[in-house]
Amino acid sequence: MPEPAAYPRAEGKLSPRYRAVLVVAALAILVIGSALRPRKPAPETATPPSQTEVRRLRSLAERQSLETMSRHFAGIAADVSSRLVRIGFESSTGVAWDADFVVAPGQSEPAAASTTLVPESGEPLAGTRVVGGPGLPLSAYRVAGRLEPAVRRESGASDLVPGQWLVAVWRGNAGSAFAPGHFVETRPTQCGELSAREVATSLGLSEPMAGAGLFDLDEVLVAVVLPCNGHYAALSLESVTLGLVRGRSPEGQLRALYGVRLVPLDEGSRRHLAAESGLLVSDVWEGYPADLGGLRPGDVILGVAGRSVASPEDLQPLLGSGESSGVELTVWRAREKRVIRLSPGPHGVPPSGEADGRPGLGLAPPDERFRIGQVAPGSPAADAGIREGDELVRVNGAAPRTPAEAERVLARRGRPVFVEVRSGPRRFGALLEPR
Amino acid sequence: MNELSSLGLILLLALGAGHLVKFARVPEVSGYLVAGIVLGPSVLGWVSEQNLTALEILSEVALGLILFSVGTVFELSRFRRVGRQVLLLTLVESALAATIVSAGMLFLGQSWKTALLLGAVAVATAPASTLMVVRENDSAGPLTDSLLAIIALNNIYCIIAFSLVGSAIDLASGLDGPASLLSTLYVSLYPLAWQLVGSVALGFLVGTLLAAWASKVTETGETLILLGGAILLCVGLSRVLDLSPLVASMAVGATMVNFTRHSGPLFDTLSRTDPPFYAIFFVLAGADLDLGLVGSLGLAGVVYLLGRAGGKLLGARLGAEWLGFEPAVKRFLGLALMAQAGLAVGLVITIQRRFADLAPTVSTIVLASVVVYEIVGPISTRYALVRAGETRLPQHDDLVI
Repeated sequence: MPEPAAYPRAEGKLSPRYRAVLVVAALAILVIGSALRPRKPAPETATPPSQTEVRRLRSLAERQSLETMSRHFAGIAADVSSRLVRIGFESSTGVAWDADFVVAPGQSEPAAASTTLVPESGEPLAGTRVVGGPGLPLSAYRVAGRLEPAVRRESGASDLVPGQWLVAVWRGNAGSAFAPGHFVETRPTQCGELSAREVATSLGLSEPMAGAGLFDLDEVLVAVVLPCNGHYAALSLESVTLGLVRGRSPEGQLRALYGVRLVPLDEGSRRHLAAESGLLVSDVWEGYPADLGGLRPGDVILGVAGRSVASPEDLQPLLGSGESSGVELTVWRAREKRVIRLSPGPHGVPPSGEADGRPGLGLAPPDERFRIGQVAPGSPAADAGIREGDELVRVNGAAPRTPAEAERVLARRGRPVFVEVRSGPRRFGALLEPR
Repeated sequence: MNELSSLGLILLLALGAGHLVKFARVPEVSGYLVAGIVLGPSVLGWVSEQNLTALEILSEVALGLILFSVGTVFELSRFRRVGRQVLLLTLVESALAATIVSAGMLFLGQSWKTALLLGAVAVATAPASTLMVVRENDSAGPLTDSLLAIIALNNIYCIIAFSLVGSAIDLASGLDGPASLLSTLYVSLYPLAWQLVGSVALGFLVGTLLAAWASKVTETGETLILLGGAILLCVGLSRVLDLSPLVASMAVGATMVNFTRHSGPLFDTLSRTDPPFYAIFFVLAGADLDLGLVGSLGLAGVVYLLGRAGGKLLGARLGAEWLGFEPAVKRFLGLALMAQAGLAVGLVITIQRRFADLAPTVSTIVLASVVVYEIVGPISTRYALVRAGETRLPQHDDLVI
């Protein structure tokens, strides 16, 4: 092609009309052909996902986000588990309240005054119980070692928002465990003798979670799971602090060491028991040294170690020592003086589970139980805290032999009567004065 | 590196490489391709995959311009004379290449689907690099005349053969009943008719517009705007309508050359302004080549390479003998048909979409052999043109399409 073929001699080849027809035909081909095109040139590639596939993908995505959440909670649990310890051989957890101070669930039965605490690092620490005892939902141990404190900010439960995520973290026998839940509300609750505030959540609290810390998503401790009258409740940090203060008071220590509660004599008891001065034993917990030593509600303590007592401050000899020989009490019972020797601490405490035998109890329990079937609301008995289902142990210092005898004594009108009642492991006395 | 600096490097290095390869008696195109390979991800990585994607549009424009030029070989007055023979020669040469490749694949134990798909792909010839070699050497003569028409037809045959094989595979794999037979035929064969007829119609419309407007435009700059606009419109619309940009661009050229006498200045302008585009096109094509693939060629790849080359050589020879072409065509046409590039790669992408199960084998073989053909092809074409005595002195600055 020596001469360029690109210089065409095209004029006159096609008439304008013919050309117009061609243009219209080409346009028609494009429009019609485009309309007739198969929408899916390759059927197997362009099939839209089926309904089931869409559902499967969606559920997969949702599952993935749930798994992400679980991982997040697990991360929180891993972070905070260094602030928790496992309590000895029990399957309960303790929260490192301070570097050398651990808050743990209270025991319903007398427990040893020292135990081993196992932190996350694995090296067991010796812990001495400094708070505890009957009626308190918590106990506390002083440890010889340094822990990472869980309590960082005392803001507690006040800034919780309903629905916000909380994670309960505890130390099981096989590492730490966690359960996420939603905060519901804070509400007042009664835990033993502690009027507390409970952080209510959607979590079902159960025994393995005893002592668990409840953390928010910023890993701030907001509550501690503690036993509460037969169930478990997450108590706010303020309530735990209150319980600790209670437990560390002389009264609380007395209770923790001996399982006894002493109250000043009021006018009615003084007259009824014919006691001049001293402290009235109002409550005794079974299995504790006071119970084992024979002390019972209605006794009046006149002297400790040879010195007379008139106020709780005079009981210092009972708290201060811890000498194994024990301490001698001068006790006024049934208008007689007698001496009772008490040994504090773990000495003489029966292993838990054998508490029913109650060796050394002064008086064998009556063969027949005197279950209280009914308590009239507003009556002196109700005011004294006697509840239906409690057992009547003694009336005016003597165990009734038959229900009829007990009823006869109680029915005597116009005279005050001192009753001793068993409510669970606690025996307490009350002077019922007619109105 | 950003797109602009990549582009600058591409242009300057392409020019340098073009100068360098002249000493080696190798076409400029090969220099551009080698520059592209060196700049691209396979070697230096100065032109990254992202740059390639961003610059792809320039490649498309360049390819549209090239095919526009190729389309001008279909000048009716001339094509009427030699058309039938060229059609037959192309058919013989294409059929033989396809048959040898398919037979070789079957012999190697590939499935009939793979064998036929590879046979159809083997028909394609790269128009761009062949045209560039023709231009660079200012070649003219019987071989040059028939070469460009044959290459244009080769690609149309390739599209037809590929569509037929595709529908055969569709039918064989998805035959559920008479209703689905009809719909399968419709789904797999309609695109073929659409790509041919629709693309020609689109090209005709754009070409008519271009021809009508060209008579009103005299200034070089304006001509360039008109041409660029028409080509971009044509390539863009064919993408929108699922047409073949290749066929449509050729149809624009064919319409121009047949319907207007103003195409002369237009092509003058084009040949003066388009070299940068071509340089970019070939450098990008080179950068897109993955040298590592040559290693994965394998026995099947070698069979494909040799089968296609053998089929083209033998088919061109036998066909030219049979149809009584000039001696230059008989002896050298086959050598000039070696290049293979864009269309083959495009078909591989289609196979990956449509026949995902066959794609791994076919892609490896085709993409690896494209690397070889793309480098060997222009050299072989130049050799054929030189041996046929159709190249002119370089200083002869005349326009050859």
